[in-house]
Amino acid sequence: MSEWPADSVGLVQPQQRHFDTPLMLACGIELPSYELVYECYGALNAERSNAILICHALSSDHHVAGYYEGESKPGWWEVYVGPGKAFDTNRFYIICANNIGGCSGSTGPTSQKPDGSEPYGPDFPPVRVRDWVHCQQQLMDVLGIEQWAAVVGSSLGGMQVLRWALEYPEAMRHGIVLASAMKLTAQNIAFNEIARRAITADPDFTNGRYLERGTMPNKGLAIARMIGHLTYMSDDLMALKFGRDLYEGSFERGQATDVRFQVESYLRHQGDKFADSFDANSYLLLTRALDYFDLAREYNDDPMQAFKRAQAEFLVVSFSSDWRFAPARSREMVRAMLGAGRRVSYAEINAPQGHDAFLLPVPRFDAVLRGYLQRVAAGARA
Amino acid sequence: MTADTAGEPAVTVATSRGRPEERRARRDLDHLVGWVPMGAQVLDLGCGDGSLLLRLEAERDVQGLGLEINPDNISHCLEAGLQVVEQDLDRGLANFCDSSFDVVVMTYTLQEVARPLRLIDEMLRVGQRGIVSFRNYAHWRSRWDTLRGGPLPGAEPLATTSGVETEQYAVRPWTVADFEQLCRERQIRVVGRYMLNAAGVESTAARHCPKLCAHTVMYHFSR
Repeated sequence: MSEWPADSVGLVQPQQRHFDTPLMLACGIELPSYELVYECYGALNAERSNAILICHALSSDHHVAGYYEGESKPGWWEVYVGPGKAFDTNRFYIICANNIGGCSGSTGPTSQKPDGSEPYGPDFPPVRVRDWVHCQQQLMDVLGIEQWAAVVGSSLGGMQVLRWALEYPEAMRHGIVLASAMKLTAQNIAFNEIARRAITADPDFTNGRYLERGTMPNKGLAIARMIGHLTYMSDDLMALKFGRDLYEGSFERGQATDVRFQVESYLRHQGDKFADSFDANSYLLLTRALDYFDLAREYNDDPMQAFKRAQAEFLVVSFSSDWRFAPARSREMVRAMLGAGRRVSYAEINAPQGHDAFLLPVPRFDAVLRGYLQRVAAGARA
Repeated sequence: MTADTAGEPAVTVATSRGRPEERRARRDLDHLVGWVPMGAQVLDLGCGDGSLLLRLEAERDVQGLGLEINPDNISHCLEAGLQVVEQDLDRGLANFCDSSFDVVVMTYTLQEVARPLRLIDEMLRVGQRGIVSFRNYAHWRSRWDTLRGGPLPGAEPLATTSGVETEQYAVRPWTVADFEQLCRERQIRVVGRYMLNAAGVESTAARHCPKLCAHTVMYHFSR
């Protein structure tokens, strides 16, 4: 592909930065050095006031928008990031870094240990949301940005936005929290635990040492992804997309062949595709980070008290059919923000797509983002 | 067009539920703005496209927050730089702390809420003062229209010929007498009231015989 749509940032290349300053993780273990891979779009203005940080979700990465050389599939948020789009790269300088502990380029379980002896594998220290925020802050320093015009993220990314607002209250003017929560519910943790058990129960997982042994726990990782993917869709969407359509076989009398539904075939495909591209140790680590996050744990479990520390103005958005990060979770967040005296706007988008709606073209979501980003842009000019 | 509407262009604005409501130019709001102290924290229930909050921010330097359920209105408010929260008033105001606002305003929405009494109590829980405006459905023209066999005041015409029934919202018409009675019974102190004619002006007739001659009424109240 040589021609990009006019509203795409077009050809992009990831950048890489090595950090030699040791990073003290929340778990008390020190990471002596680390790499961050990131992408930037648009241009930083002279006042350095138009930078927006995007925090990515569980299994996505720094490739937010545009196309890599020789690839036809754009970044994961191409719908909303580009020239003239909601996150307008003509107005904003947009940055997204791959989180450590992942497997898309930044230091994680597949990286070599500092002594070069072997990959970290299961020895990679547990990472929490605040560790990612601290890494992003290091990158911010390197890029010469003193204050973000906005920090934005959905799902696990939204948790990073919230943590940013408490860890570095002066370093951001706006926080945009999409389809997220202040902490996971027991049901939500349970889904993650089933996914983790699927991975660790795979004989090829070999206690996480599969890279050295050359045995990939793809079956377990695929099942883990199938469970996750299922929870990102709504019942209505699945009825619409698959219903009871058959992929193969028939229910005719006298037919003894196996019958497979479309939804089975779809989930298997999603699971297999994911298992080929993602690291099992990373998946364990990332889902744990998601489970551990609890915004107000160190604020007497009082989110209102937590948000009193924040200074940013917030936009919170939820999607009606999202049962993994339900609108009720966002309403709780808004209530705490209001109680703490923060400026906040909230929209509950009626969309059938479930949790993944934030990735898909939803006209009202687009309108809400565009409306809010006008004030972000106005603040960046001043 | 009757004498008391002459000279005022009619404007149609969408209420929260999207029901078009013909209203005269927003001169009625002039009165309301004067009740709001400078720099006040204001909550606007059913803030529509945010025009009142914008005025209050410009003229009274308030910190405003609007509650709204109409998606287009919410987008308007966001574009205008207002603070707006999507919220159905029928779910109450439980997400707001006691006395978190100086003034809670509700314009032209009272007739559409499911539990107006609870909402008025809630207004005075979360705010020091309440301001409510509504159309007086006992205005002589409503009575006359009804006498002539016209539709019930405030009700939408039934789409009997098009065959398409739009979503109907229950409207509970309010009158001056209703509201005065409510204030007496619930120990609500009326701090100020404006009785306006259809042009949004305080006319002698509306002031002296509000039950019959006030088209639109505004109440400023507290506990």
